Amino acid sequence: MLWGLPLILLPVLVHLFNRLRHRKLPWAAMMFLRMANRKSTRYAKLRQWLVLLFRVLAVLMLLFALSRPLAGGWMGGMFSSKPDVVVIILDRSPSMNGRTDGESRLEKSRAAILKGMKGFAEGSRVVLMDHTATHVQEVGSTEALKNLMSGGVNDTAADLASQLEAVQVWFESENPGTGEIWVASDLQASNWDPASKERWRGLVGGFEGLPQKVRVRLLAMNEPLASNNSVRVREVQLHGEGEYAELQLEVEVLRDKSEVTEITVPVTIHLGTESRKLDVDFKLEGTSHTQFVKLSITNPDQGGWGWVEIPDDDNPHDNRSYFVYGSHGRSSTAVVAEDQYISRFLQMAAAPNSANTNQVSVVVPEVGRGQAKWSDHAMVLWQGPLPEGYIAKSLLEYADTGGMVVCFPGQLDSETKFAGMGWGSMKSTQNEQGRAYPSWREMVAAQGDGDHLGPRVVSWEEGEGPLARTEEGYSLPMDSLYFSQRRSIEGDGIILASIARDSKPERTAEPLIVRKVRGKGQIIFVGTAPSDTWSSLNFSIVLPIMLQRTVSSGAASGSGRFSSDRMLSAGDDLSRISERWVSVGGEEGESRDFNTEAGIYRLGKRVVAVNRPEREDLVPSLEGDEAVKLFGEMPVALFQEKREGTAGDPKEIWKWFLALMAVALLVEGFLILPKNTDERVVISRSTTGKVATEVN
Amino acid sequence: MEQDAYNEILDGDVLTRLSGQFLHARQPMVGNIVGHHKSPYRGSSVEFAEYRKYVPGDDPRLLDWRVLARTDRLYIREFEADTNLRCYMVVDCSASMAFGEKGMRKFDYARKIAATLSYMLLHQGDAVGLQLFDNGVAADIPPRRNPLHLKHIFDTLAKAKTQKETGLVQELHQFAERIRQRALVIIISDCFCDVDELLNCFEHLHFQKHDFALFHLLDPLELDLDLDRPIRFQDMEGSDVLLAEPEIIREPYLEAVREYLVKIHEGCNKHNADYRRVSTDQPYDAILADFLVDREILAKGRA
Repeated sequence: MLWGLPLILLPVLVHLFNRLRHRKLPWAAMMFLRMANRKSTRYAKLRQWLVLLFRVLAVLMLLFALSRPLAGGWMGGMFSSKPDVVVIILDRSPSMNGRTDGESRLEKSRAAILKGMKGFAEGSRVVLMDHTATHVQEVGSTEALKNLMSGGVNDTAADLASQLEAVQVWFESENPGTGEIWVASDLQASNWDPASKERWRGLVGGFEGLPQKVRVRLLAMNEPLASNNSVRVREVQLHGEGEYAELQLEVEVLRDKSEVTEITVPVTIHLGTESRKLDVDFKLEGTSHTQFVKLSITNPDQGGWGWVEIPDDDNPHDNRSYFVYGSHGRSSTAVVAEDQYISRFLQMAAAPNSANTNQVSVVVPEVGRGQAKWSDHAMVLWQGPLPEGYIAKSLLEYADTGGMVVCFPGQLDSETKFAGMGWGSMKSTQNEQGRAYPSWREMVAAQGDGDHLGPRVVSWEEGEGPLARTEEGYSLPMDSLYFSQRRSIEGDGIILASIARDSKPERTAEPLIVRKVRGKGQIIFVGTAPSDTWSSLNFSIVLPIMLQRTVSSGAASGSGRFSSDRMLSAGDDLSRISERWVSVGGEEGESRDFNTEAGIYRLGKRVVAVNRPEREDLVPSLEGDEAVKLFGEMPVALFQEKREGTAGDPKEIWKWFLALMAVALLVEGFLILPKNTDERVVISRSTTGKVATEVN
Repeated sequence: MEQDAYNEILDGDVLTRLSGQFLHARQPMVGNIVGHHKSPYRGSSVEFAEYRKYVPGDDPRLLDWRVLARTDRLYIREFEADTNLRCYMVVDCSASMAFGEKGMRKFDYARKIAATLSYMLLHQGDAVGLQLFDNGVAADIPPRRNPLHLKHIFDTLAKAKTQKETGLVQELHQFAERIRQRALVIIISDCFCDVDELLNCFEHLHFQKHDFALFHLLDPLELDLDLDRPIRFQDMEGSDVLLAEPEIIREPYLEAVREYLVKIHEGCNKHNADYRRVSTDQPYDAILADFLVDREILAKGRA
C-alpha cells in the first residue's frame, strides 16, 4: 500500500495547479489591492503553508491507515507492503523449550507467527524451514502451517546461519518475488555463529545480490528464564574389572545465573540396565559444578546405559543426559622410538606381564606412523625427535580426546615443537677431567660410597599423578636415579619432577618431567631416556610404575574416548540419517527419532546414547542488536521479547493513523475557517444606502 | 432605437413609484421663480414667518390691522418665500465605473439614478443640469427648467461612455468655482481617488454653500473580495497587473476598504454632505425612495 506514498504530492500539485489556474479580472479598486498586498501579514502566508502541510499530512495518514501497519507486536516496526513470499525459520532447539509465564518460547513463537500470518501475510506465499530440515516446505494455508509447526522442541542444535544460507539458495533458484524471512529464535549464540564474520558477510551479500528485496523479521525470544539448570554426563569411565568394576561418571550441572548463593541440585542417576538409581546432591556456588560419581556395577563386560536427571525447572529439555558404558577392552600402548633398545624397554615397561592379555604394547614402525590409529591405544610412548606435520596433528587430537603421550628425548638436536613444548640442549654428566660419562653405570662405578655422582631428582609430585606414592604410602625411588645424559625441556607445563646438581636444589633445579594437560588427555615430557647412555631409568622401577599408572589413566580416560563414539549429539552426524536405529529403554511403545531426539538407541549390537549437543547447554543468548548487526545492511525488524513483552499481540495502529488524519483535517479546517463575525472586517451595506454614524 | 437607449437609463415602474415624492433641498435656495423650495428671502407664500415693527417705507398693505386695532401698534406680517432650485447631476465616467461583477455596472447604476432624479426634478419645476467627468469634462449641460431639456439630458446620458482615467477631484474643484449660485449638487461616483483630495473638493462645495449629496457606488465584490483562487487583477484605469491570492490578501484588503469608507463617511458628515453608500446589487429605487423621504423629513422638520 505504501507504493501510494507519492499521492501525498497530490495536495501540493493541487496547490500549484490552483496557483497556475489564475484568471484575469479587470479590477477597479486597485488602490486597496496594492495596499493589501503590501500589508498581507506573514501569518496569512504561513497559514497557507500550514494548510498545505496539514492536507499533505492527512493524505499521508490515510495512506498509512490503508496500509494497515501493525505495532507493539513483532509485526510492527517495518513499514512495508505485503511480501510475495514469507519464509518462516523456526528454531526448535532444546533451549526454545524455556518457559516464561508458563509458556515455552517455542509456543510463544508459534503463536506470534500464526498471528502474523493472519494479520499481515494473509495471501502471501508461505514456506517453512524447520531447523532440522535442510530444505523449505511449502505451506498451503494457515491451518497447514499450524499443523506443520505443531511439533515440540527436539534435541538438535539449530544452525541459523546454515538455514539462512539454504534460504538464500532457495531464493536464488526459485526467484519468488519480494520476500520476508521470519526468524523465531532465542538467539542462543551457538546457534548463530556470530564469530564467522566472513560467513555472514557472504550470506548478506548473497541476499543483497538477489534481484528481489528480502527483509528479515526477527523474533528474539531471549527473555532470561527465572530458574534453569541443566545436566550433562561429560565422561564415563570404567575402572577395574569383574566384581571390582566401578563406573565413574563425570557429571556437570550448570545453572544459568551466576549467583554466589549456594544451591543444592538433587541429581538422580538411573542405571537403566540394572534398574536402579542413585541420588546425589550437587552443591552449586557458581554457574557450574562438575562432580565425579562412582557406581559399582555388576557386569561391566556386557556394558550398559542409563541417564542422569535433575528436577523439573523452566526448561525441562536440558534436565536429562543419557550415557552408555562398556568394557574398554585392552590397554594398548604404542611405542615409537629411534633406538631399538629403548623401544624394546619401553614396550616391556608398558606391558610387563605377558600373561595379562588385556595389556599390550606395539611398536609403530617409522613407515606406519602416518597411518597409525592412535585412538586405539591408551598411551603413546614417543622417543626421539618430536613428531611433526600430520602425525603431530593426529597425536594432538588423540591427546585431546583423552590420550596419553609420553615423550622421551633423542640423540639429535631438533627445534621441533609439540603442543608448545620442545627439547632443549643436551646435557651430559662429566667427570673431574671434564669428560662425559658414556653411561650411568660408569658413574656408579666411579662414585664412592655414599656419593651420588651427577644430578639427582630433588623434588617430585608425590601427591598424585604418575609419580605418586604407592597405596601403602611408599615414595618412588626417584632420588636414586642416575643421569648421564638428559635434555632440558622447553615450554610451560606442570613440573612433576625437578633435577638439580648441587645441594641447593632450589637455585639450579631444572624440570625433569613435565606434564601438559591437553583436552582430556596429557602430554608428558621426560627429560631423559631409559638406556645406559641416558639414565638409570632402564634399571629402576620408576619408569615401569610411572608408565603403568599413565597407561591406566589413559585407559580410563580413553574409555571415555572409546565411549565418545557411543555418546552422540542429536542431529550432528548427518551420515547416520539413513541408519535404522531403534530406541531402547524408553517407555513401552514409545518411538523416538534417532536423528532428532535424545535417548538410548541400538543398531544391531551397538548401543549409543544420543544427547542434545553441548552447544545447547545454557550458552548465553545474543542481544537483539548483536543479531541485527549480523545482517549488515539488510532491513531487519527486531522484536525482543526481553524488552518489549509479549510478541503475540501486535496492535493495529492504523486506527491511530485514521485518528491522526482526522486531526490533520480538523486543523486544516480550522485554519481555513473564515474568521468569526466579531473578528472579521465587515463593511455595512444597508438596502437604503444609509450608513450608520459608527462605521465598523 | 432612442426608446431602447432610454429604457437603459429609465424605468417607468420606478418613476411611477416615485412620482408621489418630492426632492427637497436641505437648505434655502436662491431661485428666480416661485417654486417648492425655501428661499432665504421673505415672500408671499401662505406660510407665516414672523411679525416685524413697521418702518417707514414698508408697504402699508402688509400691516396687520387687527393688531393695530387692539394695541394701536404698527406691525407687519411677514410670510416665507418659495422658490425653485438648480440641480447639477455630476456623474463619474472614469473607467473604474465600468466595473460590475456581482451587481449592475456602476456606470449604468449611476445613469439610472441621474436620469430618474433629473426626471423628478424637472417635473417638480426645478432646473436640472448634467456634468459628466472623466479625466476632463465629457459633458457640461447647464440647468434648465425646459421639458425639452430633459431629452437633452437623457440623450447625453444614454450616449455616455466610461473613459480611461478619473479626474474627478480636479473637475469638482473647477465645477465648484464655476457655479456661483447656491445649487443642489448630486455626485454619483465610486470615488476611487485620493480620499483627502476628494474631501477637499467636498469642503470646497460646502464652502460655496451648495447642498450636495454623494451616491457612492460600489460593487458587492469590491466590498467583500469574495474570490477563491488566484487572480490576475488588471487595473481598469491603468496598465498595472497584480497577481494575488484573495484568501491571503482578503483581510488587509477589507481593512483598507473599511478605513477608506470610514474616512469618506466622516468627511461627508463634516462637510454636511448627504452620503449614500450604494452597493450595486441593491435596487436603486429603494435607494432613491429613502433618499427622497429623508430629505422631505428634514425639510419639514426645519419648517
